[in-house]
Amino acid sequence: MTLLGVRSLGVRIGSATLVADVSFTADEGEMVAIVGPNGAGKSTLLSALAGDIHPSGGEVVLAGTPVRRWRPRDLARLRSVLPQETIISFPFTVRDVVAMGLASTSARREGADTLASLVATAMADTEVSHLADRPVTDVSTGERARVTFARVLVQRARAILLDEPTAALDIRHQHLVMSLARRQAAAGRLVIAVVHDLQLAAAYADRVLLMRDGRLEAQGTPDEVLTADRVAAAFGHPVSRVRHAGRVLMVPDPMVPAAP
Amino acid sequence: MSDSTEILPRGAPRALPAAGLRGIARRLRAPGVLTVMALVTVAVTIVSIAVGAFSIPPTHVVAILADRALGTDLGVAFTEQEQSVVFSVRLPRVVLGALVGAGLGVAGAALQGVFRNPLADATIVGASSGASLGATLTIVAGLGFMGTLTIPVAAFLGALVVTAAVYAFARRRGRTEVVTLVLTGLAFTAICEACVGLITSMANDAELRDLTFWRLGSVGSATWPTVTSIAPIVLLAIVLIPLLARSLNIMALGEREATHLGVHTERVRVVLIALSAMAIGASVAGAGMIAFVGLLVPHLVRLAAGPDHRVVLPGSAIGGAGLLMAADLVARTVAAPVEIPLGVVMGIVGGPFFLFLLHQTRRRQGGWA
Repeated sequence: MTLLGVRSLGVRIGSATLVADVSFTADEGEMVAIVGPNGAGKSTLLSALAGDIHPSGGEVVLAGTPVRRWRPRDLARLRSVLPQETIISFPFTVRDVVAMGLASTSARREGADTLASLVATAMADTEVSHLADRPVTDVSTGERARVTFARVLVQRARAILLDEPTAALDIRHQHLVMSLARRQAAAGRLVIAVVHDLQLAAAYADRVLLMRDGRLEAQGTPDEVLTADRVAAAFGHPVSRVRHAGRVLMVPDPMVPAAP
Repeated sequence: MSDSTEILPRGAPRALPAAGLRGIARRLRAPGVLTVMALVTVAVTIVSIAVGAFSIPPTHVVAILADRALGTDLGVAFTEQEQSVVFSVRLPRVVLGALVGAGLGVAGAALQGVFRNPLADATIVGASSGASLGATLTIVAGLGFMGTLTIPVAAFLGALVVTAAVYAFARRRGRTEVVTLVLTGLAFTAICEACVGLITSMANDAELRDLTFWRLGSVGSATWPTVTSIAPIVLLAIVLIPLLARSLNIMALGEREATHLGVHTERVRVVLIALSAMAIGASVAGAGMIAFVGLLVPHLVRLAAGPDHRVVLPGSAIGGAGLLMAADLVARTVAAPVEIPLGVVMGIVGGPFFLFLLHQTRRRQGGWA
């Protein structure tokens, strides 16, 4: 049984169609990147996968049951979500926030030492251990994004949904987070990430979903999907595809002001 | 370059956190704060019972209470007159003050968690004025459908309606902005006050005396029947609200985030608003409008023990009880034999504190935008 099945999913808000007729399946052990220009419906699709919003058509099936039918607690064991940015209203410490990821997990029945070491490992992996006792309201945006990522790791859900996990990060931490996500997929979880950087998508994802105007333009391996023509058409900007040291690079051409 | 080889060391796991002396200090902080608060509150209780026009030595107070409650003789002699002053004059007033303070304190902390806003409080949100409108209506209409519970229940309903309405109005993307909350609360307070004013203008003399009591806020007319009519409601709220502490902690991350972590946010919110309205309604029914308890106390507990609601909620109940008893002690002794209304004392202390909080919140947010 596939873990995630999306069948002709549509999301409309008012008269605007944000996602239209999206279908795909994804399974444990996979890392899937969703790419596309601004306003293509990537985050909306991810919210629908997470069960945050009601689809206006089609359905999202997670582990055999429509995602909106799961009880919150059971759903929390099935999928975790990294939101784009969060406002945390009270000055909990970084360690407390990461530990909140354990709230609904079966790990809660284990001893305090086990829980503390799960939290410590996640903080070490995301390189926020040195911030453990700082109020989360005081750390920088990039640090907070890693703290939230640690919280998601601790939840140990079968499907991990990441909404632009690298947006606020410097290059070292972009790659750190993507490789941690990759490791989660290798450990048998499903990872679905909205990614802006095509390089990161190409380097880490098994499969790429390219979205444009709410529709799924293409899906397949990075090599298949990320062709120069297709990317240029989707983003409305010329791109050159280069091979360097065995990796595919998508290099956007500079936008030169037209001569008078 | 050496940079590329240095991928792992920075993230290498260190020793477990929460170990060592600092870890122990951290774990003892919250229980320590709660213990100190409880001890101070007990001391305030004893002093409050002891001090008054007819003063009783604190040792006698302890002996009288131990004799009645536990049946133990502490070997301290006390007079029958002292005993009767304690039981018929001081104790009802002190117990009422403790209940009202605890109710307002815990409700304030709960509302701040639900609204995700450190400035939420019974008075700011308008719940108190809703409660007072409910109570006023029943007094003037002469309703008594539930015996002594009538006024507390009516006050609860008033508080519930206003809190739910303000919440619905002021919420945006799962949290309330400070300005919107304060202004919405102000509007609802104005509406309720206008209704209370209208009703007051039509009331007769006897009713008028009852009604002015709501506006000033006082525990001066406390009797055992008043205490027993609100005690079950306040105690129920105080016991049940902290059970949702863990969910409230997670809801600090955001409503959607809390749902992702398995919290049934809708249910938690409805239950907490209802329980807070119970505590506020019963408090207003027992002592009228007393401002700022629910603002001051949770904030101080957070400063001392951190934001964990498992500490903040019970701590606010204990601290609220202590603060209200202390304020009442000031109200009845500072200008004795004249008594200052309790609401006045709390206003003088709480008003500037509210301004301070407002200033601090604004500075943190860099303006109201």
